[in-house]
Parts: sequence; C-alpha cells; structure tokens
Amino acid sequence: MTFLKSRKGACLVMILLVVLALFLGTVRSLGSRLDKVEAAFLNGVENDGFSIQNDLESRCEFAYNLTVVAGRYLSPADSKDLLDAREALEAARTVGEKYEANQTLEEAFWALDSKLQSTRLSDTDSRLVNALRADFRSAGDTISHDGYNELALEYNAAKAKAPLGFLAKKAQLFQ
Amino acid sequence: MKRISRGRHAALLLCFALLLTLTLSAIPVYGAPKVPDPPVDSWVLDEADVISSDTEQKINRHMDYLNQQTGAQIATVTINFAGAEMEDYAYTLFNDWGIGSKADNNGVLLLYSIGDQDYYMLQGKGLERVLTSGTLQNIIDYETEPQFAKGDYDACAAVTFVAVYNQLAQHYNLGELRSLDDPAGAGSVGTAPGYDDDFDYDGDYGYGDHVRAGSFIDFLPFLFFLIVVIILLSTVGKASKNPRNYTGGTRYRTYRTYTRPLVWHTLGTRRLTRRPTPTRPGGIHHGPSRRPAAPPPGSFSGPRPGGSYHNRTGGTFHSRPSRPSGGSSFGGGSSFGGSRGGFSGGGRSFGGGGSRGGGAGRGR
Repeated sequence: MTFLKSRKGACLVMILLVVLALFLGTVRSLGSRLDKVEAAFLNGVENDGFSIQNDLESRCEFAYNLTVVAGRYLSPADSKDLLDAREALEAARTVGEKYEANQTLEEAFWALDSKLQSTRLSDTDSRLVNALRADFRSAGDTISHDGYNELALEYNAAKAKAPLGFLAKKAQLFQ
Repeated sequence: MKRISRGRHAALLLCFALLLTLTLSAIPVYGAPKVPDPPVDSWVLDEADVISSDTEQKINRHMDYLNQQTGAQIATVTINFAGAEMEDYAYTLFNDWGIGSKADNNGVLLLYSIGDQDYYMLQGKGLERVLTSGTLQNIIDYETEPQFAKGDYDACAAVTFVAVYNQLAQHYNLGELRSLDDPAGAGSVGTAPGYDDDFDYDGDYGYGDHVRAGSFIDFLPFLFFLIVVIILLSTVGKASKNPRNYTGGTRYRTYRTYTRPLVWHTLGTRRLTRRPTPTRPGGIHHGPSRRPAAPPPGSFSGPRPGGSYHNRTGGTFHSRPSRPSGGSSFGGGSSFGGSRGGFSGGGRSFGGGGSRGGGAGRGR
C-alpha cells in the first residue's frame, strides 16, 4: 500500500484506469455493434423478415426442388452432392459456417443444373427448372444486395480500428 | 536544435492523423451505375425509341388504372446500353426511381437494353412472394423472348406488360387483360396463365433457436471498475502526516486523515474535521460520484455464434464471387424509398417503393 501512496503508484493506477476504460469501451461498443449485425442477418436490416437467413432458407427450398426434378432423369448419385450441401446449410449455426455452406450449395446446384441441361426434359420440367434457376439466382442477388453486408463491413472496420481491440480479439470475445 | 516539447509533438501527430483521415475519406468510391431520370407524366421511358406512341399510350392507360386501384406500378424502360451488369443496373434504377408504393413496395421494372440485346425484370420487395423470379422467368420464356429474339421490341414490351399486369391483377383481384387493346379496367377476374407452379417440397426446415447465453465475462468489466474505484478511494484524500502543515488560505489547507472505515465513504457519510471542509468544484462530494450501472439485460459474451463476419471477399455475404463491380455489390445502389421518385406531372409519379434485387433476365 506504500507504493500506492507514492507518485509512481498513482501514475500506475491512472494508466491502468485509462487502459481499462479503453478496453471496456471497446468491448461494449463492439458488442452492441455485433448484436445489431447478427440481428440484421437473421431478421433483416429493417427487422421485417427479409433477411439473408430467409434467403438462405429459400435457396435450400429451391435446391431441394431441383433434386426432385433431377430425380426423374438422373441417378440419385447425381443429386447427392446438392442434397448434402443443403443439409449442411440447414445445419450451419454461425454466419461463417452458413457462408461456406452456401458457397458449397451454389456449386452443387449449378453442377446438377448443368447435368440437367444436357438432358432432354419435358416441357413442364424444362419450365420448372428454368424457374428454379431464376429463383435460386435471384435469392443470391438479394443476398449480395442485403444491407447486412454494409453493417458487417462497418463492424469489421470498427473492430480493426478499435483501441485495444486486439486484446478483445486475443481474448476471443469477438469472433 | 531546439527540442520539440512532448505536447507539441503529440499535437503534430494528431494533426497529421487528422489530415490523413480527411485525405483518405476524400478518395471517391466506385458506386452504382448511372441511370436516367424517371419519365415525366408517363410510366414508360423509351430512350432507345423502340416503342410506338400508341403502345405507350395504352400502357399508360392501363397503368393509371392499376396504380389508382392498387398503388402497384409497372415501369417499362428501354435504353441503348446499360454500361453495367443488367441486374445491378435494374436494381439501381428501381431504387432510384422508387417504383411502387412506399408502403407496399409493389413495383415492377421491365428493362430492355437494346444495344446490349438484353433485358431484365425486377420486382419490388413486397411482390417477391407474389411475382417470384421463377414466374418472371416463365414470362420471359413464353412472352418476352420470342418477340425480343425477332427484334420486335414494341410487341415484346406490349406482351410482357400484359403478362405482368395480369399477374398483379390476379393478386389484387382485378380484371385481367387479353391484350393491350382492352379498355382500362375491363377484363374478367380469373386465373392468369400458369406461370406459377406449386412445387411439392419439404417445407419444414427446423433451424432451431439461435440461443445466446450470457456468462460471467459480462460482469467482468464492472467488477474491474469496482475494484479500481475501491483502490482509488483508499488512496485518495490521504492527508500529510502533519495536519498542521498548511500553506495558508482554505485552498491549500490540508486536513486530518479520515479514520472511519472505507465503507462509510461509499455510503456517503459526511466527513468530520476540525477545519471547515474545503468546497471543491461541483459542491461537496460524498462517496463515489457514480454508481456502477446494472449489466445490460440479455447481453451476450464469450465466443459468439457468427461474430464478426470476415471472409475472403472482404467481409460481405455473397452467394457468388464478387463481380467486378458494375455497381456496388454491398447493399449498394440507392437508398430504398427512391431518392428521385416522385417526379410529378399529371399524377404519374413513382411512389417510393424499393427492391432487394433478384428478378430475372435474358442473359442468366
């Protein structure tokens, strides 16, 4: 306690206070931003249900429907990749996992679609596949235009610039 | 050489940082494609001059009726060249003009780029489930493409408009058109051609709850704060060893160390001294000046699901690789609500609706 009474002790306490205040401020600020970003991903920027999550669910739907049509012309093995990718997207929990799963779904969808294109389909099925293609692609477009992206960019920029943000990162408080 | 003082050094660094920030913020960012202004007193903008005035009048007549009855709006636009990807261009134009009513976002854009030999259809946010991209694609396949491929753009615009109009008419329970020649408001209420198909699918997707638990880490910052406050209080206000040693005047007077337990300080008990208590700025202080705030309800801590989204394409969620931007790819385009919507003239003006993108086109 003698040390704390000294000038050096007082300076040390002051420095610790400043560092702590910065750290706390960073944690709180980034925390609230992150909440906002996650809410935008799940419920939409305007909280109206038009969200990336909703679009991903739609994509799963379209992917499944494509396998239904493909099942009439191709072997089950041809649709397996798409079905697996769909399951993986449904099972994904974090934003990062969903992103990766969506990429895999995208590849699998177009791979199956290209197989169908080289197959002679009935008029009805041809129309169905065309519509599914448009719907699937359209959902991808709305995802890329979603306001979530701007929020995510802002968050990443804020995290990079945050004082002592590296400490929060080290402590794995924000992943 | 005169040594620069630390304060001046810090000030110079600050100025430099500020200057750098201002400079960097002035660097222009590549934005959305340039789109034309909305038409005045018409629902048709024919920049490419491929639509006859007769067709334009008929479209306007039917559009007046549809807009009056439902607030829905269909904009027919022909251009020579988009100068960008059609989807980006359509998205920007749609949101710039604000097609459809602001409340319902029930607009549709029919865009034809004659020089690019391409077209695009985009629906408003409020019509995504009514006029799906799949439905638009079917309209394209059966109505638009046959005429467009022949080079009969006037007929293409006419039949496409009728097809889209009928989809909206079905949704809003209005009479459907057989052709543009029908008088406005005429037609019988019935089912539109089967552009929609109900798919048999397993619609039960259980995504589960996104449960986020708080933890002790949430309270750590406040615990730290409390500890520091306690340490501070125990070190602040210690008097010198000789209480009589003062330099004169109330301002410089020191006083006896307060010997009561620390907890009384925090409860705000008045300090008792033999000398009058010096008045500090803001009045007499009793105990800590702030109470630690309560932890926010439902706050989340620890490893968060998702967390900051940072990926190879620069932190945004793309369903396909980033395109060389013909338009912004991050929630880009103009703001919803139409920054230039509302050109008035004869009652034909766009209502401020918005689109999230999507739609369907020829080159897709």
